Amino acid sequence: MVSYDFSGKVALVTGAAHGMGRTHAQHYARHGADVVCLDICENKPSVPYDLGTNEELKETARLVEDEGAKALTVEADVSNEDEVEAAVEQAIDHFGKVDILANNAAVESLAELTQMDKAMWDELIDTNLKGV
Amino acid sequence: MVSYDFSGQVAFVTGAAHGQGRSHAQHYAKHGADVVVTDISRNMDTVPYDLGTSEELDETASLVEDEGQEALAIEMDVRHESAVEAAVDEAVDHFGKIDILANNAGIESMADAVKMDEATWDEMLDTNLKGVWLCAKHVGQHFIERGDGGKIVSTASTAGLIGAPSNAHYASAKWGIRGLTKTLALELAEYDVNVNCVCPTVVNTPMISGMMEAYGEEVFEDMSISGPMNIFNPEDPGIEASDISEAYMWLSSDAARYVTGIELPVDAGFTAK
Repeated sequence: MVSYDFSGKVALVTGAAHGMGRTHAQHYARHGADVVCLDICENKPSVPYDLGTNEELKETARLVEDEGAKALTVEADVSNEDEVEAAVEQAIDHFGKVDILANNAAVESLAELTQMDKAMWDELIDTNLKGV
Repeated sequence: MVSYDFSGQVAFVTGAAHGQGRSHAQHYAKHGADVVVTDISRNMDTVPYDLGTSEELDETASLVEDEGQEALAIEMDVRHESAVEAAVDEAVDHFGKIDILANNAGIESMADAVKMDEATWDEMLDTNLKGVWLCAKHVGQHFIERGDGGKIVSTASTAGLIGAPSNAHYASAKWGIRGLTKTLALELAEYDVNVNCVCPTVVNTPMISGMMEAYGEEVFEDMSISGPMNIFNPEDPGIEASDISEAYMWLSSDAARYVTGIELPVDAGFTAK
């Protein structure tokens, strides 16, 4: 129904192994952009469900390539500045630039405020806010 | 850069003789819709600049036709229910249906709230709020009867997000549009109708140039008390009508099928401060 022209552009998508990040990556590719697909590709102790995996991230890259665009996969934890900095440098080395940042990576967990342990708070804020 | 497929659809645009309404009409046509272009086509007592004219409305219709689409021009005052009802009936008779209501018609005037005369308040609220409701009411009835969904997009304003000195009547109407939008979204969801509004900052249109002519270049200075109205280009507060049309196109498309009841600022950062 709608088409955009992102040809010649590079999008960096975080949390791209599955879910919304994967669909964002596919949409950028469909509309002409090359895509850097970034994901943590490992679980976190306070998150009670499986996060993205290396196999899922590769599958996202394949879906980007199916749209006729180039993909670069990068494993990085958005809550770790060194890893983020290295990922951005790797993306720029590879594609020459980044035009669009899709800040999608996030986790979810549940506990009542008065009973939440500090690790759960820290992992969520470090990922969902500091990572962004 | 962006293209939508509105082919086979009919858009009903109010305030279409010039400015944002004309731009919206052209954009719907460019993306394949036929367009009903409506305008009051005459001046109002309390509005200190020229509103649209018949000639301008006809020109909008030919711009729609230039895009290869059919246009129907109707002179209509959004303040009068009988006029709105007749225009909606005429549009449905002509095209068989309406898919999109672009509730754009609006006026502007300035006075401090404590000095404003009643006529200035009444003309503002009748046009910028009651007019939006009346068009939504009659196009909404059509959507319900037709049973095939629909889209309503209305123009609120950054003055519907914050206060606006010397513009109490305008701000009240624009805040009112947000309440109307959210309520209509709730009432019409079961009929698969999306209802949203856009909040532009100052846009380079005849309304704004008319205001500057009537009140002086500094007319909007009070509103930039918190910083520049356009954070990208503080020297030129205005953005273009087409910037607002792009938001209209998205909200009118199925790409935004789960977007309803929102106010979308297109304000060059004015309210980010």
